[in-house]
Amino acid sequence: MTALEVKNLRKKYDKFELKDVSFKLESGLIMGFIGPNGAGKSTTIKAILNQIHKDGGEILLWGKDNVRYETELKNRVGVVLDEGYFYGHLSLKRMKDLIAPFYKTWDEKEYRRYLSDFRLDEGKKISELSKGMRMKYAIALALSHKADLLIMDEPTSGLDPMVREELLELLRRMIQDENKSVFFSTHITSDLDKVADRIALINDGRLLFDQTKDELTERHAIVKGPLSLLTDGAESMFVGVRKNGYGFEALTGDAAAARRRFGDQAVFERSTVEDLMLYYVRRDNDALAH
Amino acid sequence: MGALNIILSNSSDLPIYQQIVDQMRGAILRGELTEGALLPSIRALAKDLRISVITTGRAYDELEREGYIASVAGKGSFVAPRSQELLHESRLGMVEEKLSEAVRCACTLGVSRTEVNRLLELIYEEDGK
Amino acid sequence: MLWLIKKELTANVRYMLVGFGIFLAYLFIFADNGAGLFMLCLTICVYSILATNMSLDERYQIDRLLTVLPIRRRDVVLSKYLLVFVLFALCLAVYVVLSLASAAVGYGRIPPITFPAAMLGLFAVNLYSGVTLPLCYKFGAQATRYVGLALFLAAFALSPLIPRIAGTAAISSLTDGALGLLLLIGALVMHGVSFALSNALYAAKDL
Repeated sequence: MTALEVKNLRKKYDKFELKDVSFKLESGLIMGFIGPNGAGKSTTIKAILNQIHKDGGEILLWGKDNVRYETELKNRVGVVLDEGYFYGHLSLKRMKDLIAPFYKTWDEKEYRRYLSDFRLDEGKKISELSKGMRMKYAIALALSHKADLLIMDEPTSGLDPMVREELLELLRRMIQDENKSVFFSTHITSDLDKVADRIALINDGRLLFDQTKDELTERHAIVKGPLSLLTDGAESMFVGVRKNGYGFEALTGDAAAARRRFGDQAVFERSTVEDLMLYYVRRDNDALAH
Repeated sequence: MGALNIILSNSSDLPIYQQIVDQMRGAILRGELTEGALLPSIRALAKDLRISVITTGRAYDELEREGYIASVAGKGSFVAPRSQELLHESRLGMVEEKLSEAVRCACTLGVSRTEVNRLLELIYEEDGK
Repeated sequence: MLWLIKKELTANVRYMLVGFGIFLAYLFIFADNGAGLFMLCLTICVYSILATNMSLDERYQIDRLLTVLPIRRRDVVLSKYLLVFVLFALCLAVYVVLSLASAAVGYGRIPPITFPAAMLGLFAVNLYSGVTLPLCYKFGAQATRYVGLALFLAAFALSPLIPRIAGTAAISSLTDGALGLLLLIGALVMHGVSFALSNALYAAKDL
């Protein structure tokens, strides 16, 4: 079952444009959406939530159009945005009392469990919470109505590593149920290294890749070696190369071929999601500049 | 049956799913996982190892292809019953693979066949096997 | 829908109470305005409550929250219009109670409510909200504040005209019922048109 499918999404602003963004998220998986600031991550999420109007393309949740079936679908979607948009002067309890009745499947017991797991004090005012606590509260709300899809926009920026790990562990627990899925955008790539099943990279409104993390880590490798190895069009097998006075470091998109070619003469390392992002974005930006 | 140990290395050349396949296969061959033993679900395993469920799924698919495990819809995955003959063949196969690697290494470094044989004798004597 | 109205009423209870407090206070302050008393106090009350709600929602960007929830944009807009009716009903109830109480204690400056006087109140607040709500959806609460204030002051400046209009031949020839009905229909039509406009504006908005 495809939980989320975006087809040829297009949206034009004055200085920015989303061009033909397409990707699919199957149930039971966690998909990470990365890209530099301003690349279009938030815009894509806004389009999925129908906060903005698309100029073109289709967005389907469980096969249903996100505009036509908006309210029905939103019952099944939990959303955590980069800011918790709550009334600051209200207590957690009163804010929850305002929100909960809108959901057909609100689960009060589940909500209480999250509150206690997160050590949140219901009586406190929302404005009194730290950013991390506010995020946890938003997550508690998002996960307390039996949502099958969790959409998050930069949920971990501003959170310390302990809290981030708590959140990632929560996501791992959530998809023990293969009917649940998670889609989140972030620029903290290490989180995706830890938890993503699938990764899509967007830059300047265009999707640069959309693959399983396994495929990405198997096909790619960081290659380091002496500059003398860069002969006979060696550079063409790299996504990007960084040279300095002592040697080079490059990302290859065909690790097997690189190993065959360089063997013991080069050092090979597993590429992280951050490496992928840096090299692919740089290559894309260079291509745009010409 | 002892505890199932799966230790993954990020710095290894082997893809993670391959490491899981190798380690689980080893555990089965050594008898640490007995026939019919229920294996963790791919999701539970993914969560505990903190890796992608696609990876564990692939490892299980591979093990199933090789005949080491079997999956029953709705119940999970089990260690498959294996004939003694196949077991013995696999064990030989694993040793053969390691020996081939050693021989390749010897060739690359220019160590002769006689020297390799001598080393093999020494190793057995040392380890008291 | 009900929950949305509840949200409007309870999101800022303190200011709701202040709003009703204002209503009460002005009943005494403007007590000599006869038939126009209800309308004046109601307008002040609705003005302050609506303006605060809109600016509070804008300050905390509640729109973003609402798009996450399973509610239609149309219902979000509708709830604001229905809120005006709810406030009208509540203030009317308070007024009736007070006029009865004041008659009982011999304080005659709060006259009993008449149908046209009530409808005049409804007409006035529907006019006020009918103009400011679409403006709010188009330009935001901050910008609309000034228009709202201007409208509000204009209403005050023009209120002495009301007895004069009431005294004209055309109006005074109407029965209370007819006049009230006319005002009611006018109020509803205005609200309807304004709602259609706000709805269209909000539906097209990119948040």
